[in-house]
Amino acid sequence: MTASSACSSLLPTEWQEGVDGAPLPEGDTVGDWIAFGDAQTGQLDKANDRYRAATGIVARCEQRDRDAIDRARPKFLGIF
Amino acid sequence: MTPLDRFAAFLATKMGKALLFAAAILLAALVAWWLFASWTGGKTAKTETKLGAAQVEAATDSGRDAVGTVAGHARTSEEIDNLTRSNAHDIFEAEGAGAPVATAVRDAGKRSLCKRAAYRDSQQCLQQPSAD
Repeated sequence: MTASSACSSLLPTEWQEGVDGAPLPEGDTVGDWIAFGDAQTGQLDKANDRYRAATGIVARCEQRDRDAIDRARPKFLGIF
Repeated sequence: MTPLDRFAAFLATKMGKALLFAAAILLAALVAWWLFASWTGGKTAKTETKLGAAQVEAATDSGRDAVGTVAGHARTSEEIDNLTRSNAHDIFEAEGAGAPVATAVRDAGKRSLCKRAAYRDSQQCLQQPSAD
């Protein structure tokens, strides 16, 4: 008996595109470049959060499938 | 002597008794096999039904979990964007934020970024003049 659901199909398709980089600095000031660095760090935070969310969704789904199979498996004398 | 009498007489012989015994054993084996097949077949069907129900429940829970997690990620992304805007405001308000970046280092920075996959195809990078 194998799990029937494809857990990865639960992930939004747009997540395959990844997280965009921050917009390149338009101006030529120190502030523009420092703000760009901060914005890029924000995009990194988004990417990390998305990675954790995706792996969490798939891992929990796979665990549920395993549990479902375990629960349905016939037990000897209803115990083992 | 009728055929039935002859058959009864045959059964009374050693050979007849042996055949009768073998037939009885065969019949008992067939009945036992039928009972076993019915029992295991019923059990398999019951297990399959139970598995199907458990998998439907698991898939429903996983779908609900995914919707909640994706929504949570969307909220987190919104908070990150809010912080980015707030940080940008603070950065631009800070003293020295308006100081110009030297053209050479600015161009080198942009050329470097344009080598990255994230920006390679961006409009700014496609218009980027090559280094001299």
